[in-house]
Amino acid sequence: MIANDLDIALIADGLYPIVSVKGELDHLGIDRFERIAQQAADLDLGVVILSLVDAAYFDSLTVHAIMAYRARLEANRQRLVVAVRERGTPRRILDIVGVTTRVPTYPTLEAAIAAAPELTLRKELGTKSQTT
Amino acid sequence: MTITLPRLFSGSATEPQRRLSLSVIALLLVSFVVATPVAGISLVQIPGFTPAYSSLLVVADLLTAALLLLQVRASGSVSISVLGAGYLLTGCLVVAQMLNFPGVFGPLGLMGGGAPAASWLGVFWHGLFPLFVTAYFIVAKLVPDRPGAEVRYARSIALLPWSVFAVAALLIDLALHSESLLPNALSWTDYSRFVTSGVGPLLFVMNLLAMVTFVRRNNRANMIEMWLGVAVLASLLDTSLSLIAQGRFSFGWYLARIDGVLASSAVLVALAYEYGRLQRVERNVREQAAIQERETERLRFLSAAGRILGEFLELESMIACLARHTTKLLCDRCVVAVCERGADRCALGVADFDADVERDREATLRRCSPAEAFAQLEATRAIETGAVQVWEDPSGDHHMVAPIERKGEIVGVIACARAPRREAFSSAEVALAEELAARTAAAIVNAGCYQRERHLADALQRAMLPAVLPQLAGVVFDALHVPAGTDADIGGDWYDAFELPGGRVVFSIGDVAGRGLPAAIVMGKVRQAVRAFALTDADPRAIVANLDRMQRLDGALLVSAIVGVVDPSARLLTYVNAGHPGPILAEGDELELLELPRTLPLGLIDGETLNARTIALRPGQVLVFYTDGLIEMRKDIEAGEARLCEVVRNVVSSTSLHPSAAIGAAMFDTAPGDDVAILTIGVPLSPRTTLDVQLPATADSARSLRRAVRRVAREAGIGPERLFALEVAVGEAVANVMEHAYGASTGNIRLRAFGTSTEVSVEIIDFGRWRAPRSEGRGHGLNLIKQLCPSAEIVSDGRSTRVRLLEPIPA
Repeated sequence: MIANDLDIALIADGLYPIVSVKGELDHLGIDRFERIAQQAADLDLGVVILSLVDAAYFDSLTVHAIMAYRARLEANRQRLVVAVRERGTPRRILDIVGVTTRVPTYPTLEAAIAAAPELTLRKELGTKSQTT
Repeated sequence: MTITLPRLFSGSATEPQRRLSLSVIALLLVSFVVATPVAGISLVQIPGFTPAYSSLLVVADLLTAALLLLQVRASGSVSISVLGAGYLLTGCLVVAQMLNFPGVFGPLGLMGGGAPAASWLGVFWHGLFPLFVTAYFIVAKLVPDRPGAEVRYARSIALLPWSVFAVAALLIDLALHSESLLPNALSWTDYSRFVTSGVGPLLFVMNLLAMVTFVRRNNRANMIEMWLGVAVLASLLDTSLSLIAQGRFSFGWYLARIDGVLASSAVLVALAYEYGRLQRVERNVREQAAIQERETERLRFLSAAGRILGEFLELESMIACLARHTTKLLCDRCVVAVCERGADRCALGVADFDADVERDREATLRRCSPAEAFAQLEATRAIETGAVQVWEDPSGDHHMVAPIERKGEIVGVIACARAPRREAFSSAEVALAEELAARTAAAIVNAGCYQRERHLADALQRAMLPAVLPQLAGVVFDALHVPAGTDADIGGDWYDAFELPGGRVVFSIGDVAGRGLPAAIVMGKVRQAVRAFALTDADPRAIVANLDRMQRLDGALLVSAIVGVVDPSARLLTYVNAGHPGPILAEGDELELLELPRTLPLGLIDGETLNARTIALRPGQVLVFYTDGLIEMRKDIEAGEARLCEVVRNVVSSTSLHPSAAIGAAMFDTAPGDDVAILTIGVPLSPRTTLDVQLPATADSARSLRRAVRRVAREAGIGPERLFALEVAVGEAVANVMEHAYGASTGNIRLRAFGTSTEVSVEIIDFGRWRAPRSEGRGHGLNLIKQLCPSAEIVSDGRSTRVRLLEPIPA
């Protein structure tokens, strides 16, 4: 069951920081999201994983914030990776606004964590990242 | 394209040609005058002279004959056929003469004719050549060349050489038997008999005659005829010198033979020159034809493009058709992208010979922002420079991008590409692309004007229609108005429904005959009159009677209408039909056409008794009112009615209480030719969950409103996925109100939601003034609403803006 209240957590006990969004991310929660996301960026570990798997609501403002966050990360040679369920409206929203064509997107948090090492810009692998 | 090339013997000789031929003539005459006194001096006999001389004559005569007869095959010219026959006959006789000439192939020659035969054969061809030339000039005057003669005379032309050979054979035979058949007029050694027998003078006269005919023709002579004149003169001098010469191998005799060679070869030289000239002319003509062909293609392309640009007034249709047209004629794939300032997406026309590639490319481009789309089309440089760019990519594909410039601003591009196997874009094609882009820019302006007019007309018409229909718990109103698609004229169709203070609802639907502003004014007047009359007496009969009196006072246009009253608490509906198509009462699969009662249209009732019909509405029933544009679309009213019944049965049986849009969509294959109005009144099967709240437009309210809709939708039975989509659509609509309608100022948002077991409808209403987005990079909200909730529509009446969302609940 997905909770409606917003819970944004920064999980930094693995190789890469994870920004986990649970509940409704709307006008009222966007500042919090940006603050915590910036903390993840400040860790400067090459990749930040954003989990929307448990998001009960997000809208175009959230998408705008995600895209702006991605731009800031890439300016600092970091990559953003998004975990969102493969089927359903959240994924469809990301498709409609074009996030999935620009940001590597994985159906589970585990898949996003597994893919992260291959996506770091600093490795300069020169290969295209695989999106699902 | 048909190319007409000049022929031989066509056109007069040019002045240089004339001067050259006259110089040769003068030289001949001078040589003759100089040689005459010494013509009789005997010279040494040169053994190889006669074979060499005869060979030259044979080659020259037969080549000339061949060239002339080939020309005859092409042109069918009778005069040239005469001349060709003359040369052929001369050549044959010279061959025979050489074969009989004593000492060339033997004492008596190969044919055994010896000196007599050789002498007579010489006389024959010396006489026949001027005779044929004379005939040529006469025939050329009497029988001018005509187009198609080569076909008409084909058989004669084919037989001509054989006829000449036959005559030559006869003459050769005559010469071989000259001793028995011809007078003893010639002597091999005594040239005086050639003069005294009259044969020599006769030849002289025949040559002189040919010369006279040439001189008479001289002013109109073409280049070859000029040289034919030289040949005739040379032949005349040949004969004259033979007459003067005392015998063979004298100075005069040798000079005469040289003149003879000139007589044979003059036309050949002229023909060779003329063939060379014609080749040059042909090359020039073909080059001109190729240029003309390219120009014709260019004009054809632009003409078709002009038709497309003029025919379509809707931008996307226009540029889609233009891309297809360009792909057909100029390249293998084409994208026409047009982006107005501030738009978040380009209008696109995409065409590719490969349909799958076309679909994928279009889908990709449609997801792109204008900058991304132009980057994908590699149009950045063309946009920066304002000039057509042509290049070849590493894979060998040829590209051309033409910027579309309007009033100094680049508003789009035409991007073309060709596969590597095809040639690169030429400078002419670059110019063509520039012209096409300029014409497209002009058409975009026209399309913009049309769109503005159209939107103005639509806005005016919508302003005359109710912005919102009554929202009641027990009765559901739904309506659709579709303006005619053919032009920007306003129509006279309307629908209306409004709530009276006591809770009853008055509704009307009608059609004013005609189109344009007069019809719209009458429509607005009648609709407002219904409202005014209903406030004093809500009986439909009284309203219609008053409308009829009003129309009789000043109504010039015919108006048909249905006016009714609904009592939601009693679920009773009463209406009067004044000359309008009767409604359809639908309940599940069952339909009833309520044709009666019906009276005359407004303005014609004039005291007639008005019969009203009252219907006790049951849950699940839907009453469909419509204007005749809906059933006249197929020009066959009965077929239209049958189709409408079928559509209503299908739509209503799917249990929707908002069937208008579905009915309209099923009835219209294309934009209707006349306005269409549909008004439906239905009773839900189950009680409805309703919500009607008004809150300040703040972020806190946005969340509250969204959650309130979630509650209504959940209670109505919408599943989690669709709930998320509906909630996002509501959230985006509310966010849009806060940002665009009110901005920094304050205002309220009203939210109305209705849920039944079949659907949830939501209305987000604001009362602000809409403005452009303030922040860059946003603008996804409306797109999300439309993608997540396809039924979404936005209606503005100038005072308020409503976003309507309808979410059906699957059975």
